[in-house]
Amino acid sequence: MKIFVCVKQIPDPNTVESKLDPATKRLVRTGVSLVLDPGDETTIAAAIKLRDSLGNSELTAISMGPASAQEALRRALAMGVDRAILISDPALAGSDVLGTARTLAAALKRENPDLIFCSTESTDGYTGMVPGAIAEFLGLPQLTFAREINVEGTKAVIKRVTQTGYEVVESPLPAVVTIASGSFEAIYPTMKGIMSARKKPFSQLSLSDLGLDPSQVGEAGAREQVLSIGKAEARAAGQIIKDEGNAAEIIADFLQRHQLL
Amino acid sequence: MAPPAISPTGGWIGTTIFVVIFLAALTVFGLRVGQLVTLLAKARREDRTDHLEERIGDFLLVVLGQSGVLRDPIPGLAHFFTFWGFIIIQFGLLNLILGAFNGSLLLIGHDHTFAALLDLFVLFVLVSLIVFAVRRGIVRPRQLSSRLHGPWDGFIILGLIFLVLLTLALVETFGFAASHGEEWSLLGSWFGPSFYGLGTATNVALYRVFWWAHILTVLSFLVYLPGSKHLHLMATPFNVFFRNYGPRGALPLLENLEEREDYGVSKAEQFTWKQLLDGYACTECGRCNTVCPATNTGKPLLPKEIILGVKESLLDRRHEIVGEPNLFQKLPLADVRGNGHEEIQPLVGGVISKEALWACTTCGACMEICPVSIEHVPKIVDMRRSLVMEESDFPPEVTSLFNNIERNGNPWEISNDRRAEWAAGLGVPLMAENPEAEVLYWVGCMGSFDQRNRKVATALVKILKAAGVNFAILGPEESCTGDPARRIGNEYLWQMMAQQNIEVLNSYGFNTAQAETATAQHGHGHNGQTSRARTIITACPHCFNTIKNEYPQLGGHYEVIHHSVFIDRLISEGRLQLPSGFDHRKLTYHDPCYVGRYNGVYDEPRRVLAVLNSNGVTEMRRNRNRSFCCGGGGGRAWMEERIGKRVNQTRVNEALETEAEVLAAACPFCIMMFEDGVKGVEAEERLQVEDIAEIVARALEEAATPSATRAGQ
Amino acid sequence: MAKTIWVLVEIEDGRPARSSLEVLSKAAHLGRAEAIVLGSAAATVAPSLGEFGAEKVYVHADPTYDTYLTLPAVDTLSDLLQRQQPDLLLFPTTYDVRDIAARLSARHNLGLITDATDLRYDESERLEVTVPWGGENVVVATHPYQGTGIVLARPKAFSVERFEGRQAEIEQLSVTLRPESQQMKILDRVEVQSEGPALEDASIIVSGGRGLGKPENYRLVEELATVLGGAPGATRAIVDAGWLPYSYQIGQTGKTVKPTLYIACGISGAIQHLAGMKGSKYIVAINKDEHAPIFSVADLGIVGDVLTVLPQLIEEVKRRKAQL
Repeated sequence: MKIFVCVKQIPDPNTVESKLDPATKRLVRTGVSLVLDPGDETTIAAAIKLRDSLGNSELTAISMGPASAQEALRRALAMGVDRAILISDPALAGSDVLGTARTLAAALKRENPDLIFCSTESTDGYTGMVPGAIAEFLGLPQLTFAREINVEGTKAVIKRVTQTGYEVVESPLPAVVTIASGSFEAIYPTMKGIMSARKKPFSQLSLSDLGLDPSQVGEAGAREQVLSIGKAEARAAGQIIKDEGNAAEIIADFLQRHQLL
Repeated sequence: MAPPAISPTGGWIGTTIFVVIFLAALTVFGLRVGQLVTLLAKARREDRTDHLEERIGDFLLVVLGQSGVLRDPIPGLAHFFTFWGFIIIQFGLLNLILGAFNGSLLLIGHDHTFAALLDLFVLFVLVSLIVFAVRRGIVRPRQLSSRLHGPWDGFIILGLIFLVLLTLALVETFGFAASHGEEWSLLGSWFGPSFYGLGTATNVALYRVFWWAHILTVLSFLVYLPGSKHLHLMATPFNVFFRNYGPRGALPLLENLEEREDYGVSKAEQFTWKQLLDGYACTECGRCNTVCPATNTGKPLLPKEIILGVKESLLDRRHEIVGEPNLFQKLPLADVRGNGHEEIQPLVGGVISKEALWACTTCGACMEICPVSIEHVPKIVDMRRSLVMEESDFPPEVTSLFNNIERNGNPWEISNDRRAEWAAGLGVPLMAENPEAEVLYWVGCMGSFDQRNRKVATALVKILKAAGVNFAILGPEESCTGDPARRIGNEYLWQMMAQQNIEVLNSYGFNTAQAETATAQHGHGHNGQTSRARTIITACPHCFNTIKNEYPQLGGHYEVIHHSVFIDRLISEGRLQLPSGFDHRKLTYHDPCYVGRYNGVYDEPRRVLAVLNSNGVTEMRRNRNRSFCCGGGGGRAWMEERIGKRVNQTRVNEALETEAEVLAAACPFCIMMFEDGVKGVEAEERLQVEDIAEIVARALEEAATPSATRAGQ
Repeated sequence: MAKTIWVLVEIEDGRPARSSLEVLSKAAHLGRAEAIVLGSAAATVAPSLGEFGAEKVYVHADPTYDTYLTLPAVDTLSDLLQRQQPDLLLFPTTYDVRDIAARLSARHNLGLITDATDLRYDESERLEVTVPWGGENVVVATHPYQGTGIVLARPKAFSVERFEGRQAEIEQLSVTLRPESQQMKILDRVEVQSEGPALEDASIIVSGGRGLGKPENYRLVEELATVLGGAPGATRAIVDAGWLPYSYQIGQTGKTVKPTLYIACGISGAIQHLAGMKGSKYIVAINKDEHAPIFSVADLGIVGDVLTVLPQLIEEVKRRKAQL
């Protein structure tokens, strides 16, 4: 089977507070440490597990992003992915959900995939919309929030996370599958993985390779516009209050203010 | 070469038979030993010929003087006599063998003094045998059980030695009786005359029977030896001679990471010959098990089983390693494992369980106590390396540790930019601001980020300021040393971190090797620094050990001092004025493994504490080089402890036994583990955990405000 | 002219889902709210929606929606969009609706703004959607074109309101569901009885440490967790002390959690613990020691006795919840 996994390089969510540049209205990506989205690490683990259990399958990681995103793809290769594709083009900067999904779908279409893995959502944007949009552009079914996936013949069966448990959902292949974060243990690369990652096939595509018009993607194609960027209510730096009998009320007020009740 | 009074073989036919049997036994023995030696020859290379003079000296002390085993006095003495008895009995044996050729040993062959000495040792060994048998059969310390050689090996050996002694005594008795005292021996002179009545012919016959019995017992022993734990008899002297003389705290470097085929050890033959020799040398005394913090808290790790597991796996794989046996070797007797085709289990995850490998705190207590210089920890780390770097198979909670060290330069999800935040407002310069600083205070991740250990860092700053030390810290230029990564088996990550740190340290001119060359040239090092050897101090024994003992493997040579030693030095140089006996609380001191056992620092911290505390230092049951680990070393601080008792609580309970109110430590990991341990045993009210620096800093405050309430009053 | 806003209303246990009603109420404030209800229980749910702000309800009571995920709903909405051009699709953020919104957006090239905490139309009738970004920024965004756009609202961003006496016009949709869209089939639904705290998934965690004093007092932590609808957790210290099984442990060793709310009760905040929970969105800490490191990460810190504060807080939360 030809399996694909869509991945993304993001500012390290654990150490970097995600910031927007008021001038460009885009995510600040300079001067911060960039990593493969931790959510994608578990998605890759799920894809590798499936590839290995199916046998005779190839797993390709695909990403859209600036040149620096090859580092994230190298990490995916080190983890055990067989091949990587990076779609990089200046015209892609500022792409929204649809632009991103359109681009990835165009690249995936050339490959005739059997199964496309995505994370449920990225750890920086959290929209969770790209996988569904890719599925729509490719005309494929989508199996979302999977915490377990099995392929049985020409069908995929997943356990789909719900509020109270899970649903067993099946669909014909090819399909897009999104993996619920934390469902799989991320793979820490072996030395062999790290060394062989340098030699595995790595291709780079531009917009013209995909036959996409620049007006459909990037900032030009965006269907949303940022009007302004403001400062959030500064996270009140540790308000410390001595209990004078009204602590319960103070806490309850706090919870209510933040819609936590 | 005077002939014996009686020919033991009774002529050339007997002698011929003897020669044939003797040569056959020697051949089988040779084949078996040859197999063992070939296995070593096929193993990885390692140079152990440095420090020759010390090697010879220690060899004499440990092998001939038996200093290793004598640390445990009762079995130690018994072993001492068995060892020397064995050597002397060999001469007696040679004498008896020469008898078959109508000869005897030069000088001592008929010497009564030698004969008397020989028999005295026969008696000593006999007593020792009784001691051993009682221990093995009745006392039965748990550490003696042997999975590899089964429960009978020990008894078979004891039985064989007993038979050797018995047949020797009988040979002497009937030799004396048959020759009417001409063949003199002490035992013969005691028992021989009672048999005069049997008549000379009978006595001669009995002499010959027992001569044969003695020779055959000895030869069976010889053939049995290589496949038993008594292989140590031959291997131990070599093992002691070739022991490690490098820094004890340094794990071996895994070279050439980019082009290697394997990373660590998953098959026995990937160990170096010395690591494998350890298996041959192991006497299976189990002393290592008795001191191991994992074994003692019910974890599936027994250090002895690690050593024997490696040996077992090596012997199991002998045909894979050496190739199919030839016709000779196919003789079952000629094979160390009796040539059986047992199912071969993998070394890691088979013969040795992964859980056992992950349970190790690398505290080094096993290596410290081993009488025959076996190196347990490097083997464990070698196998961990394979698990981590080849299989990516390690406790899942370690993944984030590795990722964080690699991405953030510290074990947590904290940006390394915030490394100097703890020092805000304390007036601590960064190296970048004070490049001429004499002393670099290497704060380490715990001191920089952990709230509890930040207090230690703050205390140390107070001390340095009070002593007028010109110092600085690196701040965000400092990264994790990589120590936990290395000990968990991620050599790649350690090398990455080490190189990064070495670059920073060198840029400020701390590298002593570099400073020397630079001085030789222009008197100036990199970064325009004056090149002189400058000191790095740290309150973290793990940082201390790896920078001092392991960074040299990558070209980083630094003068590194643990803060307890530095404080001691400041006091003795008079730079630090402390009120003596200001602290009246009862105090005990825990020796951190990487300060004590690995780097031999025992006295300095005690000296500092003794000055301050009116009661001096109350010692715990296990102290100094036998200190019991806090449970946090070897990366264990980052792993779950799911099995057995808690190591930290075990040690805290030991501190509580002394009725001390203060448990003084000198390691951030010990402090973290003990803080948790004290909470775990619910002893917060009774026991405080404090770093030496905190105690000293408080004394300084005390000195500044003499009217303040004295601690503990 | 009033904006027409469509709200896809989900059904939970035969009743309109709370998250849908929140959004419906907001839509009713912004303009003309029209609800779409799909699935076998749609007809019974539809009449009640007027009371929550809907002026009109499109109903298609077909069990196909209950068995086949996403695509039938997308088709129906898509058909409806061919006939009418609402100004906005304002949807709640739920597992199922997210999938539907993504496909609709791609199929009709609709701009898509997610995670909205507020939205309004300015004087020039331009939509302004407020979206928090990271911890520091708030973005105001719009759909920069004429025509329909999609906005997904963050759960609990709006409150459910009643529009007394409002009656919704009900239109039965007559669509034929396409067999080729019946692909993602639900074979089984499994309710998982939570055994012990489902810490990793909980959006609210109440956690206890040694400051609780005695094992018996841990029940206060459990009780607060229960009334808040969260999960109880613990520090290594009290797990080590044997108060609780290991599955409760949060920290470097133990579980790493990132809930929306983390209430630390009697926890000093050793780094081993902080490492496991500092990613929480809001942290409330109650501790006697004002120098406890936990306060350095807390949004709200109460210096006080947990044993006094917790019982009061449990009552206060119960009281306020009853009022909501």
